[in-house]
Amino acid sequence: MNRMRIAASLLATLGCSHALALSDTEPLTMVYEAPAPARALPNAPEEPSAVRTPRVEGCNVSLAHVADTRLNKETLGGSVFIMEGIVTSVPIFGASVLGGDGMQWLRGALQTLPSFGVRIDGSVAARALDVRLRLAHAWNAGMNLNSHVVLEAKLPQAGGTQVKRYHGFGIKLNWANANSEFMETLNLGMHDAVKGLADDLQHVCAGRAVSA
Amino acid sequence: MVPPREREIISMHARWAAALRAGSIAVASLWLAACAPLHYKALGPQDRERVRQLEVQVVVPQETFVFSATAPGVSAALGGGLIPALIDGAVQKSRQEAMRGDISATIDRVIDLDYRAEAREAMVPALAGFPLNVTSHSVTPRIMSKADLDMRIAATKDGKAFLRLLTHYSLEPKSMTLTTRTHAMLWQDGNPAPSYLGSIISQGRALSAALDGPGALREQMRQATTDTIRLLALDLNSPQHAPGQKPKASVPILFNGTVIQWAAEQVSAEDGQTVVRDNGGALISVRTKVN
Repeated sequence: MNRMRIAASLLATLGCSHALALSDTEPLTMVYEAPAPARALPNAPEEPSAVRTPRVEGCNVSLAHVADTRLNKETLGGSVFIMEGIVTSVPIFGASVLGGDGMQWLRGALQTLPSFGVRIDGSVAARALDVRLRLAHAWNAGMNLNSHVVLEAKLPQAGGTQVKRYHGFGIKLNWANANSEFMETLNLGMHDAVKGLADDLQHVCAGRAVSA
Repeated sequence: MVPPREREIISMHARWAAALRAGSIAVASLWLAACAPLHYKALGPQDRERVRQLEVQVVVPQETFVFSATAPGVSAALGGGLIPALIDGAVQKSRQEAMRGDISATIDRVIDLDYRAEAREAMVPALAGFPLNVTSHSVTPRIMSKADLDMRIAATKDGKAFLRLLTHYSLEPKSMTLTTRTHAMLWQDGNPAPSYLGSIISQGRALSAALDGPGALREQMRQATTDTIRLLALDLNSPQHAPGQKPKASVPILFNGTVIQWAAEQVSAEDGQTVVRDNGGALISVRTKVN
């Protein structure tokens, strides 16, 4: 029991103000890395292919305008320890996740559009795309890290443009509350949002209507 | 069909992962147990007397409402342990993923809401009658680093004091009720131990029918800031309160659309809002009745 107390005191000294491994002085790298495809378990069912948007040949877009329009670019959420279900719970302590270059992150993510069947083409013949990063937030909840990323795109349509927002969510097990894990969780959210955008671009290229 | 060697590798990885998770959970449990700080400490009359200039910093670290699915509570029901904790984590993840449609729709409607701007807008008039002499105030998204906070505390000399309000907003997904939770800490005399600690919880009316844009929510966020500053002033004016000395009777309070019994005493009831102070010293401001 005494050993437990000593360990607890030591951990408190080391960790209380630092929120474990999250660095509140170093910004995230903001390097987009597409998540590795989930490895199928030996007895996992085949992923149904029917739900995927069919790819359209020659779906070319140009990234005419890319912008980071988040209201706050200094932080990307953080570790705030709070127990939501308890009436008197308050955020006793926490640490911010510091933001880096949001434009680099967004551009990196959009460069993965070809993996979803959308070619990036600088020619005037390509459909001009306007994409803005509206929200990027990461937080911890229970044993997991979560992220929410919102992209807003002006989709080129035959009769003009359609503005649509794509919400991406990331969730992963929180091992050590490390900066790299927050970045990974944000990348999961970004991947999810880009995938939604790419699916709609396939519809645009096929001349189909895009849902509101 | 997975080759036997590959299956063996996957199995080995799973065992390592389980061991690592066990270690992480043990560390986290110890850490949380050791970090349980005081939630409440009254500002003594002498300490209050020495506050000549007060800097107020409101920290709003959120960019969006955090909708966190609740864990099933397997760990609590079974008295803790690795396997129940992992079950909780996995079920929570599954529930979180199931909520994405609702979250997207809700956040989409309030995407233009600037949390800090709303807090700033309401804070200035709310601080007008504050019991301490506020000489500067700010609203920021960034929680100060340990080093910066230490430096800031060290500078609280000669009657200067620093009050930090760490604020968290949450929207209850079913009733769409906004809850604003604030932890207040006041430092003075360069002392790393705060002179005052306060917990303030303010909950507004349910918004379910009204959330067709940021307007209603914006109004509630401003009201929550006003309410929080009012309760903070009340707390700083109550040096006689000593939590835990006598158990209070249970009073019914309306929380997240449900009436619950809470060990607390009523402080005030006006304009459809009830304020109670619970046994631990937290001030809770809730609606008197459902909308």
